[in-house]
Amino acid sequence: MKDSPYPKSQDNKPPKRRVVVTGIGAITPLGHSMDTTWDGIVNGRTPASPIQYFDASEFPSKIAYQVVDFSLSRKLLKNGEDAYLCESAEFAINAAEEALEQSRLLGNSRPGTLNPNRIQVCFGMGLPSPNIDWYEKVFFPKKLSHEESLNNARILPNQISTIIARMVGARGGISTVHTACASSGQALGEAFESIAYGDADLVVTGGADSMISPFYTAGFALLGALSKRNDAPKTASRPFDRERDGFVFGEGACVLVFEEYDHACKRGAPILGEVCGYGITESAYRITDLHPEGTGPIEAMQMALDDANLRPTDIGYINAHGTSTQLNDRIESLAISKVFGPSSKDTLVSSTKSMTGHTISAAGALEFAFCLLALHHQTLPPSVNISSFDTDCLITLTAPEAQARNFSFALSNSVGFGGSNTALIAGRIGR
Amino acid sequence: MSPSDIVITGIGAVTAGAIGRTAHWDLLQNGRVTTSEYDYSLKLFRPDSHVKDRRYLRSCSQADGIGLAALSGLMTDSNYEPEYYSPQRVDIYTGESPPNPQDHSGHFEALDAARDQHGHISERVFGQTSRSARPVTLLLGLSNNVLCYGSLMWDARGPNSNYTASVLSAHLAVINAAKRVKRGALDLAIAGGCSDSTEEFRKATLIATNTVAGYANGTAVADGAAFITLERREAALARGSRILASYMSSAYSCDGLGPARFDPDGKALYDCIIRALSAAAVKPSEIGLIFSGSSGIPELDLMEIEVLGRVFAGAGTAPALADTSRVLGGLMEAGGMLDLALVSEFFNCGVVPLAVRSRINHGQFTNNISPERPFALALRCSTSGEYSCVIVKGELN
Repeated sequence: MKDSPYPKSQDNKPPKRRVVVTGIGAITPLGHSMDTTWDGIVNGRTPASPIQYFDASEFPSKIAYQVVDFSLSRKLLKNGEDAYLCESAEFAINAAEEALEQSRLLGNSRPGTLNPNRIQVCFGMGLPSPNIDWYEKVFFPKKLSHEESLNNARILPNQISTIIARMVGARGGISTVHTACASSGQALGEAFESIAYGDADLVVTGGADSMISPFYTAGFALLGALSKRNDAPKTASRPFDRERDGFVFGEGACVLVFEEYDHACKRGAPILGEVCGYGITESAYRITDLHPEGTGPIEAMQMALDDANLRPTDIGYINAHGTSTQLNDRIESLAISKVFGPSSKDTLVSSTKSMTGHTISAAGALEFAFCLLALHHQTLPPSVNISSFDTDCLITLTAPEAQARNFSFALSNSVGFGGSNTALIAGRIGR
Repeated sequence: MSPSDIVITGIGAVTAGAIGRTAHWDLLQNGRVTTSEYDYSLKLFRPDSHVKDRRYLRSCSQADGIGLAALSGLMTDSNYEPEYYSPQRVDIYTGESPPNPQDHSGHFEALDAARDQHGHISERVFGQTSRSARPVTLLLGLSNNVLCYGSLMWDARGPNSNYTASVLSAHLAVINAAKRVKRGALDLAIAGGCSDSTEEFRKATLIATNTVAGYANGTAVADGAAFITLERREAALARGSRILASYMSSAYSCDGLGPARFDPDGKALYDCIIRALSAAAVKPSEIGLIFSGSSGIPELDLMEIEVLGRVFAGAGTAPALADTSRVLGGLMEAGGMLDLALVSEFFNCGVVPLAVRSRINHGQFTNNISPERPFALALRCSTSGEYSCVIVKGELN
C-alpha cells in the first residue's frame, strides 16, 4: 500500500451563514398540529393502541401509534394531485401547510420579493407501504388499467417533494432522501448545509412515513425489532427501560422551514430557533446493527459539535434515537456517554418515541422539532414508561414529568438501518 | 481550491450492454444493439461472480446486486485500496429506486399460504404464515442497501446519502458528494446509482407519470448501475491514480409545478445551466460537448433542445450533442454517470459516435468535438420538472 497522505486538515471549509427555523408543522399520533403534538409531549401522553389499518390479530406485534381522525387538507392542493399521495404524503401536505403558514409564506403574508431560484425542497421520505389488497390488485394482474397504474405512482418518493415545491414556489431544486430511520435527519442536515454554504436562502425540509402495513409489520417482527407487549400498548414503547422489548410503529410527518438568518429578519418571519450543527456518518458495520462500540453515532455527534463550535457541556438536552430495542438503546447510550461523559448531569437525555412511536423516516425531523420547542419553552420532554431504568445505559434521563430547565442547545440523534447516523444541534434564539 | 481540482478517477458500470469502462466506450462507439426480448433488462444478470463479498447478496434485491457489482468494478477501475484514506473521510452517495413487488419476495410463500379457495389473501392468516419467512425478508425491500453494503465493501464511514429522485438521483449523488470533497469534508467520494426499471410494476408506475409515455414514444427504461469516484487532484495523483475527467461544477433546479408536470418554456432548466456555467467560470463558447438529458418524451425533449439553443445562441461554433441513452436506454436512478466518466474518450475521439448522435439535433449542434473547447455539459431532465446539470472537463491525450 502506498503511503496515505492523512491526516489532513480541513482548512478549506468555508465560513457558514446562520440558519434559523421559521416554520414547523406536524401530523403525529399525538395531534394534528405541532402545538397539539407538543402538548402531548409535555403531558406525557402515549396514544398507542391495537392496529386499526388491517387485521393484525395473528401478527406477533399488533399495536401501533396511529394518526386517527385525519383529514387531508385540500386548500393548497391542485386538481388531481391527491392521486399521487400515499398516506404519509397526505400527512406531509397538512404539515407543510401549517409550517408555510407559520413562516408567512402563504397568501397575503408572503412577501413579493422572494427569489424562487433560492428556494429549495429537501425531504426525507419513507418507503411505500402497501396493504395486501392493493398489492394483489397491482402486482398479480398481467395488465393494469391506467387508473391502477396511476395508483402505483403514489409510491414514488419524490412526488411529495414536487408538490411541496409547488406550494412554496420553489425553483431552486428538489432533493428527496431515503436512508431509513435517518432519512429526515439527513434531509434536515442537507437543507441546513445548503443554506449555510450559500446554495439557497430558504429550504422546506422534513420527513414523512407510515409503515403500519402487513408487510412491514411482518418484516420487522421477523427481525425481532417490534415490541410484543400487545396487552399493554400504552407502555410498550419504553426506551432505556430494563424491560424494553422492541419498538412500536408510529406514523406521521413533520415539515420545517429553514432559512438564512438575515433573509428571515428582512421579511419579518417568526424565528423559532437556530440550526447550529450537523454530523453525518456511516457505521459500515451491519445493515441492522450498530457497531458494539457505537463508533458511528459517536463520530456523528462529535462532527455536529465541531460544526457548531460547541463543547459537550454546552448541550443541555439530547433527544435520543432511543427506539426501545435492547441493542439500540444500549449502544446509543454508550455512544452518548463517551461523548458527553458517563451519566452526565449537564446533558439530560430522553427518547420521545415513548410518546410518538417510531415514525421511521419522519423521526429525525419530528425529534429535531421537539428540540427546538424544548429550547423555546425552556422545558425538557419527560421520560415516560420507565418502570426500571436500565442502569447499563450510562446516561441521565429527563424526569418522568416535563421539567423547566435553563439551557441553550439541544442535540437530536438519528440512526438508520443501513448504517447512516445523523446528529443535529438546535440553538435557542436570544441565548 | 479551483473548480478543476476535483477529479473523476474511476467508474464501475453494469448495464444490459456492457460491464466496465472500456466495454462501455466500445459499446457507445460501435452501437451494438442492446435491446432484446428483455429490452434493456438485467433480469438474467447474476451478480455473484462480480461482487467482492457474496454474503451481502443474501439480503439484496436484483437492483442492489447490480449496484454492488458496479461498486466492485469501481474499486478495480479506480485502483483504490481500502484504508488508503481515513475511513471517516470516504463515503458513498447513492441513488436507488424504490422497492418493487418482487423485493417482498420473501413473503410470497406466506402470501400463497394465506390465500383462500377464492384466491383472496387473508391478512389475518398472513399474520401467521409470515412468521416462517426468512428473517432478512424485510431487508430485500430497503432502498438504501447499496449505500450500506457499499460502505462495508469500501470501509467508508464518512458523510453519505441516498437519493430517491428518479432520473436525477445519480446526479444529486454526484452534486452532494462533490460539495463535500470541495469543502474538505471527504477525501474520496463514491457517487452514482442503480435501477431495475424494466420490472413490470415499475414500468407501469413510470407510464402513469408520463415518463414512459406509452410504448411508442417515451423513455426506453433500462436496468443498470454506475458509480464514479471523486477525489482532489493532488491526492489522486499522490496515490498514483489515473484521472478520467475533471469535475467543474453543477446545479439543480425545478419548475415547482407539482408531479408529472414540467414548464414547456424551460425557464428552470435554463437557469440551472446558467448557474452551473457560472459556478465553473466557463462560458457557453467554451463548451465543446453536450450530453443531453433526452428523456425520449417528445415534449420534454423539445423543451430541452430549445433551451440549449437559447444558452448556446451566441456561443459561436455550436458544440457537439450526444445522447448516450440511445445505446444505454433510460437508466433512471443510474443515469448520467457514464457521460461524466467517458467524457475524455469523446474528446479524444473528436466526433460523436454515430450510435449516440442525438435524434433531437436538428442542425443546431454539430457532431464534431473540438479539443479547443474541452468542457462538457451533462443534463438530466425529469417529467416532474426537475433538472440537473454537471460540467466536466475532458483530459486530452
